[in-house]
Amino acid sequence: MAEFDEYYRMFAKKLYALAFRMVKNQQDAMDIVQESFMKAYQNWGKFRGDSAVSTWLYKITLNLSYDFLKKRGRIVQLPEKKDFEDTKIRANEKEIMKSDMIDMIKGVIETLTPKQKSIFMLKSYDELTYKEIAKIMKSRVGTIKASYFQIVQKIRKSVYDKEVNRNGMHGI
Amino acid sequence: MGCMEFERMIVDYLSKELGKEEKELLENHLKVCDECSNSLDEYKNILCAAKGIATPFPDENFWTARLKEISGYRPRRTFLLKPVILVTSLLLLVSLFIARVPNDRKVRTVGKGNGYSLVLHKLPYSEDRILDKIEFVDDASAAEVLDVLFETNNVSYLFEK
Repeated sequence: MAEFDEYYRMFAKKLYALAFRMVKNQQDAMDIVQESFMKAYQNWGKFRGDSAVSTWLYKITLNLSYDFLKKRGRIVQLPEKKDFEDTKIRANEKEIMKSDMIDMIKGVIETLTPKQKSIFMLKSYDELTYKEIAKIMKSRVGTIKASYFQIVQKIRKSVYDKEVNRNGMHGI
Repeated sequence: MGCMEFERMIVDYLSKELGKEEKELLENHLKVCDECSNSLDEYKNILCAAKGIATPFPDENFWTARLKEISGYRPRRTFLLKPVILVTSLLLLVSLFIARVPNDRKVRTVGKGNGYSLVLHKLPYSEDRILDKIEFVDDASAAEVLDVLFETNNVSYLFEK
């Protein structure tokens, strides 16, 4: 199945990244992406082509990630590479700010529900359109658009409020 | 349109989801509104930083090995299973039905329409009694015996014992 191999090469890494961001564990993400492609392989002949293959693959991966999270019952925290991060030499203030901002964003992302998380991932990392995300998540474009705005707004408030607080503390 | 609406548009603008007219409208507003320009910078920073969150990828061998594994995987063919189960169940039902048919009915069936009633008339036993005796032998033999008897029209020796 040359066509299947082609899709595997095109999407395996993207789907792995999505699964990893959802479940926060490399081995589990690897298992999820393999299972996704197994399912796709088994049903390759049955796929009716109502939507794009990519949409179908994203849908399978997200559903498996949700199932996994349900089974696990909670979202395990990403193993932070704190030791490395703390000892690495930070070149300049801009880099420090970016690194802190990444930590803050990670913190906010962890507070999102699995569905909110998927919307954020699919939009900001995979750069899918609202329409594509709506198809994957079986939702309406307007709903996805509103949710994405709320998520990004939440991150912004959290990041910039914290920055204001921290700067205030330095001032004291 | 107020800055609240423009804030929503900024997020769509950064996601490349704005149409040409909306894009122009926002860009013109950004030229004159410091608050929205600041919002644009902050959203841009956040989305840029979010992309910087690292994902540890497995090495290239992993992907090749997994593809081989998936392509080599053959699901169990189950499309023949349903008809086989159906046919087996039907056969089982038919054999159960046959097994439940009383032996005397089988004997009667063999005998009827072949001079059976004429034979019975000449015998000193009632029909039920004859059938009781015939049931002492197996069905196939009984049928065979009856066939022979109807030909010769002489059945008395069978019941003399």
